[in-house]
Amino acid sequence: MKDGVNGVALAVFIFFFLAVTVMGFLASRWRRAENENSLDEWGLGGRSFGTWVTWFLLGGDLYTAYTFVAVPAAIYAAGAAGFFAVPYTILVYPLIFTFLPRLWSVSHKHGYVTTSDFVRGRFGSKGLSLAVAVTGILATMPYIALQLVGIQAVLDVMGVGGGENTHWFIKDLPLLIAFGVLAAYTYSSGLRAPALIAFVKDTLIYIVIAVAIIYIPIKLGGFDEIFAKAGEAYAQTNPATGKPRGSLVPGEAGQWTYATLALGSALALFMYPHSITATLSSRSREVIRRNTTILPLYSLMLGLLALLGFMAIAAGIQVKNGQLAIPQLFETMFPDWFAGVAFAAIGIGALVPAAIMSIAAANLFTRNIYKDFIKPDATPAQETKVSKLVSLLVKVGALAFVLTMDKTVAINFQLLGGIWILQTFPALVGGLFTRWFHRWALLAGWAVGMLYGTIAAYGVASPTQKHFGGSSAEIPGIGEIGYIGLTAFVLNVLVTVVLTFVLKAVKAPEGIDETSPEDYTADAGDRGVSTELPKVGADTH
Amino acid sequence: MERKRPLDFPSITEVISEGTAIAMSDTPDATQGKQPTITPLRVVIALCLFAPFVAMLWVSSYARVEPLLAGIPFFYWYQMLWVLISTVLTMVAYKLWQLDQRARKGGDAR
Repeated sequence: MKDGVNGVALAVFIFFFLAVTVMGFLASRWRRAENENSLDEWGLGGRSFGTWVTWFLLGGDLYTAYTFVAVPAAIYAAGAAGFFAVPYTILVYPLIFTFLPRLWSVSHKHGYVTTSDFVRGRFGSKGLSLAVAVTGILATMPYIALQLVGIQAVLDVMGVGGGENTHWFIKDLPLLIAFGVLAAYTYSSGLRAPALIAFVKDTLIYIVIAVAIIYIPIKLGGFDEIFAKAGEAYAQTNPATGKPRGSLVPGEAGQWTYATLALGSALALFMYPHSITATLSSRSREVIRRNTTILPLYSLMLGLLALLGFMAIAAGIQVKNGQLAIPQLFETMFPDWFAGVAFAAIGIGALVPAAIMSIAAANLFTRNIYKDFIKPDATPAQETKVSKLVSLLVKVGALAFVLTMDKTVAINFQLLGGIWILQTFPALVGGLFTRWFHRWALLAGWAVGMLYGTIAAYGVASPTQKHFGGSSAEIPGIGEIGYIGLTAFVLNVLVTVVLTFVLKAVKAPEGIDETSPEDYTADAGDRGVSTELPKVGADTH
Repeated sequence: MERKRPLDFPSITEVISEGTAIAMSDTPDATQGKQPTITPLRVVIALCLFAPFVAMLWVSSYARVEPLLAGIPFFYWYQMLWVLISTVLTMVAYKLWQLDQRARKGGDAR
């Protein structure tokens, strides 16, 4: 690491940061609606985004700064196992092609803002809806916190943030400023801010990756050289485990883990509230299907990005904290000004998802906790006010999380969050296709999945951690090592199916379904789905 | 591809994974009326969407170093190639789906 502050890189970074800040505040005027004081406007950007805006927004939302830092870091640390992110994002799109348009249609027809809104409407169960909402909020919070970890990594490498002895306030000041600004424009512009900033973020990312994937291999003597050096590095024994550090190709034992991680993560991704928020903000059902065919461009980028992990090894980057591997690689290989561009890409890459996530979590709280349990007669203006305030609280919470606790705590919770959020799949996706599942069975299945997932993750030890050392454990009955989230999900489905049979046999009350079959295929322009959204509330209580 | 009658639905669901079978039942059950739920076109759509799952979850089929492509081990370039293949497949599914919907909308006033 170079000593002191990298002035040129920092200047470029600050330039881009200021530019997006201005954009963030101006965003409130972009496509402004007559009535700003509704959750449809603030929290979903007026549900007006077309194919390209949605593409940038979803891309900016799903491929976060943490992804950019963590995926190559995983490759840097262990090799092939970290590459599961690529099959994971390949599988996501055929999967959402099947169910997301249905969610869009029913949400538009009934004015649903969150997944919990849908679950409540479909199953007539506030309890199940609350379970989905709480899971969503719990899973999102550490995710926001991790975006900060991404910014911190970049600031560290630029030499901002001081050494070990610096006063904590000076050390964290840049982060506080960045988040203060983010909080301010999210508050004023809502979802329009990240939608606009996403253009800058993704353009920068694409430029940086394109340059990195050509420029760095040339400097390092080609991919042959890079993989040869990486292979040697992985073969060396790790003193902590007594096993090789990693491998270029997953061995027999690692293949189950690889496949289950890819599948489980793919199933979980669109259960996250921020993915759904970006989806529901699109203008029509077609926009979503079309997006499933153009979003894979980001997967390609992710694959190329992952290769940077090998380059970091070949370039001889030595870092104690794996998260710093890629920022450090940029700093070492690129001229200062371009390193600044790359850092700006990562930094802004943290702001977009953090904004959307906080909006999504705030919407969940407002719609499914505040309105359902605290103030059922809240007006749209009051809902928006509460949502804005909660989005601030969520960000402050995430900041406190990162500043007061060890970074590994945020990472542990993020890992748990992925396992947890997958447990809402049966209620949401199941509910989109069939009303066969019983609401109480779904709730029981969710509880079992959550419990099993948490306990199993707690029991995973690694050389550095006694608990939460990883996300894979032995699959009971199969004996292979697999992703805990997926095992918990299978358990969840089994419990749900068995209990549904039982509950139907004893004729337990089914709850009222406010949706009808044609709601799931309605498109913009159809009757009742046009610009006027029906007021929810009156008919749901 | 053999033409399936609506009654074959359950057996087909067992063969094809839940995720893709679901894709075929995107019309409300009530409107089945004259048109069968499963048509050859929809089977093709389902296969397009299902293929990436088979390819990617069958890890042992691609967990090897050789052959290298421009110095990159097979394991990596093969999966990146699948990003492109799955994109094309999803696009085909999307186009076929539009065809299917247009045919249906023309057929009955939904």
